[in-house]
Amino acid sequence: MALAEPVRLVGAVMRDESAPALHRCLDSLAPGERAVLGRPTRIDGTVVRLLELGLTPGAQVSLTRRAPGGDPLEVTLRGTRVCLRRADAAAFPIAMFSGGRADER
Amino acid sequence: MTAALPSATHAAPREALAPVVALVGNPNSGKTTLFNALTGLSARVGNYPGITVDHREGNFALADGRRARIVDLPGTYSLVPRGEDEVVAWRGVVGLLPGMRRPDLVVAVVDATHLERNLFLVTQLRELGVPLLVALTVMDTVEADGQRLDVALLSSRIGVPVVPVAAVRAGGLAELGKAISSALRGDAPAPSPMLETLDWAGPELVQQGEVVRKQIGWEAPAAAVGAWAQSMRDANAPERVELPAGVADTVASMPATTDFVERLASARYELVSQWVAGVVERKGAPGEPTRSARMTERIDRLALHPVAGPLLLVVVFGALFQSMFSWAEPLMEAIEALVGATSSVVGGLVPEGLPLVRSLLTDGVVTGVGNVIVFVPQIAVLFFFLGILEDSGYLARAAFLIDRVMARVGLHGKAFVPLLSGFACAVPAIMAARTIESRKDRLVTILVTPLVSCSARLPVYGLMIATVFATRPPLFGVVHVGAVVLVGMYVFSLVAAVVVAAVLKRTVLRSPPPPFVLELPPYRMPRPGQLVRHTATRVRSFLVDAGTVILALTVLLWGVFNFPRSAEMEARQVAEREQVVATTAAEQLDDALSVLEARVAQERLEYSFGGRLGHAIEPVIKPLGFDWKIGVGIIASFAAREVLVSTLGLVYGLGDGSDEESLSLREAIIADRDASGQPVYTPLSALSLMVFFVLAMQCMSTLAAVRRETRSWRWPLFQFAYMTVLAYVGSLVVFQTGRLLGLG
Repeated sequence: MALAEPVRLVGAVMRDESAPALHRCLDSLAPGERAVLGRPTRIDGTVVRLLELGLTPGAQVSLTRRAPGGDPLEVTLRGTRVCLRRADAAAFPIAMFSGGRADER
Repeated sequence: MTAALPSATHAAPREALAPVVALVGNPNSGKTTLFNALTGLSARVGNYPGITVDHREGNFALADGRRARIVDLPGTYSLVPRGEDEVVAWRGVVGLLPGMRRPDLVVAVVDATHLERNLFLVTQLRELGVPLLVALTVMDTVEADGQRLDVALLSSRIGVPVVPVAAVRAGGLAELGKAISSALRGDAPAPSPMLETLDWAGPELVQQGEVVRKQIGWEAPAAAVGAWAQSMRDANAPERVELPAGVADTVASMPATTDFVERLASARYELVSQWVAGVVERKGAPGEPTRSARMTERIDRLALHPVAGPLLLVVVFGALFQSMFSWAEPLMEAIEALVGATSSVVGGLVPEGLPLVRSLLTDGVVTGVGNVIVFVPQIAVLFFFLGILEDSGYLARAAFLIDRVMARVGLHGKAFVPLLSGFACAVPAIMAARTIESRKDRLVTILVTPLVSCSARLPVYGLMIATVFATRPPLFGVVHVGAVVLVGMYVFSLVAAVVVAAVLKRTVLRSPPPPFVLELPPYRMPRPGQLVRHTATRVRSFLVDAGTVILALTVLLWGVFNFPRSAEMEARQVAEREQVVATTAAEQLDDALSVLEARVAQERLEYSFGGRLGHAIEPVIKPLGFDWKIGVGIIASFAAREVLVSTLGLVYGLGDGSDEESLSLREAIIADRDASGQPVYTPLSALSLMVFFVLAMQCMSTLAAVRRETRSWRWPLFQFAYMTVLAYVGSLVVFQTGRLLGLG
């Protein structure tokens, strides 16, 4: 059960078919929420670096905290902690875990 | 030599040369610690022409008795470079660093507590087929977390030797040493076939790879080189970094894709998860944070707290800033005293009849050496503290907290440390700009840092405020006008730095806004030995590279203010001295002689090139409210801003001991009148002079430091030119506007 949910979401993300689930992007995640990443909507130097740091489609990510003032964000994935700006996080669509606190902010 | 040699870079048979071993790894992977342990005292900073990023190298004794040359390449997450230091790492791996052969072995330093992320770089190294060995660091934390790694399984999966490094200290590296020795004897592993299996990577990729391979003699599979070139293209890397000429064009000519890098990164992480599956044996449920991660998170709940975090930041950097003054100050005073004493001793050794030689040695050479070493305490204190902040992991937290503010003013987050340090002294501050990855962002920071009001300006402000503003009635009955002016100068200097940075970023150094992507490493205890070495390296590089320039400029300035000399004037001064000695009562002789000497110094100064130059520029600086005496002061204070005060003392015939506290100097300044009988120093002209000192590049040591950091005279000369123009225009606007408004 714990694994089935991400697998289903990853499948949906990779096939690009679950339009309703992909309405949100990484920048809208609230602290403590977990999600699965989709394919980035743009490619530039910063997004490439984030991909290299592991923000690949299907990766599970949680938002740890926001800096004072709401920007940048700190996310945890693959056991490491990465900080990125909101504007860059907006390039990554997410699918929410149904078990995660997906209710809107 | 035979014609069979493969290329010019292998001018001698490989076996005859010391093998080259390159260390690569992610930032915070413990690579530098490993390097220090491997090379011990043989480590030194590598200095290759045209490369401004330092990298270090040293020797290591192999099992067969030969010595290997070990090169510590800058930390990087990827071989697709996005910053200047990452270009050096890439060049090092590929064999394109001037002065360094293609490595005979690449040691990938992998943080075992962040295995997946660190192994991403290893996938790239495997695709390129470089001779490779993986060293697993931070193993002590892995054990403390109750985890076990199946190293043999990982090694067989990756296809290269994997060596755990249990304790990074002398004796703890025996296994790694043996593995390096035997890896150097063996053959390079076959490149990982991963790229050939990607059906979405078309034949064009291989073709482009062939082109790039030929351009730089890159001995790697064409598909891997093609994937590198496409990744560089999609990351817009040529916009940010300097690549070998042909490669930059090839990369720029490739069509951009929207999904290549994403698919490639996914495929590589997929490979990594295959590598590590079943390798890590851990206690507790999967996904549960380890003991060390929980401890770091506990600290971060305070350090990154919305309220406590920024407060802690202010406290930490307040302490850093304070230490540059309070810890460095006594040392600087001790150095100045030592220089004074040395000067007397050296002067005493020169025969009485050679005053010019004595003056050259004492006022030129000894003073010049003093001008160099006086910066050592501030540099040492700054880099020692920065080392603690960096090695402990706090600097990354500081960047996270400060990014929003710095982004607003368009500066790189890491420009925060140089700008703050600039309030103490621009020389160490400019050296601290080295952490900024992008060349252009780093240059912008270097170019504007000297605008920030450093402590050498304080004597100038102090003198002007004490003489001109001290007698003004307080504003609103309570606020001291001098205090308002002083605070105003500090705010003005910061505003000037930010505005100039914004202008440079849009013109001379046009580049995209600095990106912000940062890893938060776990907190670690800094190693004192490493801190001391790191600090010593910085001090040495300043002494050697900037010190020579400062010494030469000091001697040059000595010449400007000591030549030419008039034989007639010298003879008259000798005669006057004899007359004073003959006619003055013994108890008043010392006073009389010092008055005479002060006048001699004044006459000499006026007669010298420097004095004449001061007169010559008077028409130019008149519109700023300055007379020739200030002109002389401005020229002399190119040595350092505070020299203005002692030079004014000389010009007013008060001898060479004046400082901003000297009452006689204050009185002379207040009493000074121009040809029409008007006071030379009014609140307006004093303000104009202070504005000039905020904006002008009156510091040869800063220029020497900028030359050291940019490895050319081009940027220090540009900086000198723009700051001088800015200072002139700034003072002109202040003085002329003030006049129009009827002030002064």
